[in-house]
Amino acid sequence: MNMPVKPAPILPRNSLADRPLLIVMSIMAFMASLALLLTSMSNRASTDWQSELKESATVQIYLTDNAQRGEAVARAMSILSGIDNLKATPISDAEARALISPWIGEVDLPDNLPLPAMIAVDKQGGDIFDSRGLKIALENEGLTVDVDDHSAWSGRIARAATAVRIGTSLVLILLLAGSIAATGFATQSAMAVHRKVVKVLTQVGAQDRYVAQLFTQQFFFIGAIAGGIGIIGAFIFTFFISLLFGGGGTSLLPALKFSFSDLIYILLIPLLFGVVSAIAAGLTSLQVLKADRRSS
Amino acid sequence: MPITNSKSSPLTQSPSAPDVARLDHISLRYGRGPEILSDVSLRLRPGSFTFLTGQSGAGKSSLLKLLYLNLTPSSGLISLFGQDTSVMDGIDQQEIKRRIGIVLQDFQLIDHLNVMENVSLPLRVAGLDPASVQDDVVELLQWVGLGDRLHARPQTLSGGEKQRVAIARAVIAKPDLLIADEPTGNVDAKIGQRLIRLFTEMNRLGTTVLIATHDIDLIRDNDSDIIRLQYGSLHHGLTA
Repeated sequence: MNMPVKPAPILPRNSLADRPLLIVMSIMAFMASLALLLTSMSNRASTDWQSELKESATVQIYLTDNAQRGEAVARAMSILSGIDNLKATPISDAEARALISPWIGEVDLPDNLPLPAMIAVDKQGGDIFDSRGLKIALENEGLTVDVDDHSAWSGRIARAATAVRIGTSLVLILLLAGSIAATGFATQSAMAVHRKVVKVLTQVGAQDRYVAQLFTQQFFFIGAIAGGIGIIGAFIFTFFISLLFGGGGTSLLPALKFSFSDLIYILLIPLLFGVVSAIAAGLTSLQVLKADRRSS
Repeated sequence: MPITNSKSSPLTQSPSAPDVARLDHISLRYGRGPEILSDVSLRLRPGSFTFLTGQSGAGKSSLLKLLYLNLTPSSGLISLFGQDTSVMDGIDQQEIKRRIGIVLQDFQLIDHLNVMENVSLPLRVAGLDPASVQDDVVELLQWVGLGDRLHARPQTLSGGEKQRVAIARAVIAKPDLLIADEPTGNVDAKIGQRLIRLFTEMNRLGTTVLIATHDIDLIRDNDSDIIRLQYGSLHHGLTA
């Protein structure tokens, strides 16, 4: 009696015909991983930044004479320090000049230029920021002020984050559509390469779904392996880009930082590419078998 | 008038059992080419053993292809196991094919599978665990003289060995109808006789057998029905 041995798969593995698809799918998975990483990183940066902005405001006191600066700031601080759950911090002249430097460059401003005095206000818990009430309270003290609660910035950031999300979702959809088309072509090619196997299976009574299942399994593995290669490539790429260029943040814009929580999303890529490839291969092989029967 | 084979093995089904295969006024042409088969009618009774002969190009292989549903006729009706094949869907056709064992001249072995795996293919397709049928496969391969070639790949086999693998694959699932196209064409006389004994044994157990062959000696040595294809028409016996 012979020892039972596991029989070889009916469709040969690692066929040369499968390699082009593996390469194409790996590239697509790489791009999909990058798109997902970018979405995840920009979402996190946007959320963090909006959260920071909602917790703070900037009081600008307009001056006609720089000599009034100290007295105006003192009056404003006395009012602000009397409000519960607020922490007010005057912004020094040097810090104010640094803030406008992105627009005017490293130019020495004349000392008598009446730059507005600024006070950073941070909310310390409690209700939402009442910027209008704050403005009225300061104006009642005879100050000409503007209270910027950053709502304009926050809205723009939210819109930008939504645009990135929509853009990357579209890229993902296009990549998956491309993967479906590539798998469809590859399945037709594989069925041509393995024509003899399909013919023999049909002769011995294999149902179409049995033959399709063989190609489905084969292409699930190709898709999943390509997905794995893609995410490894994307991870290495992102890691080195982070090392080479840092987070890319400025004094006004937040840095895009990689977090290991991003891996949760991209770890789904192999499964997603495997399933998409399997479905595309199954449907294509069923169509081809049906067409073959009609033509016989 | 249809040609009917009458000789049946002791284990054949009752006379009321449907014909295993029935061809009614079949014609066949490829595209717009000449007619290969012309108004052919044939009945294969359950348990019959029939030789199909005829010159090269007479249409033997085409007739066999019609019987194992590899071709559809230009006109006429084909019934297999009592079912009209023209109204069958793909699923029914494949169910019917599982009841037919086929041996083709070009063997149709799968190159990356070894001898055992090729032979057990119909059983795998039928959903049986290959490990559970391994002993049956080995026993059959020993019977056809390939006991020492179980793990060989087809490309390392001689023509005669490939022929025997193809035959083993055709009979492993104990088909109701066995169709063989020149099954002894690539083997020596001794192996040829052994293969015919295998077919005869299967026929004795109830399998209907149809063998296409040029080998007149083989036909004369066996007391079986003989049909001859000539110019696309079927005739009884070896000579007109």
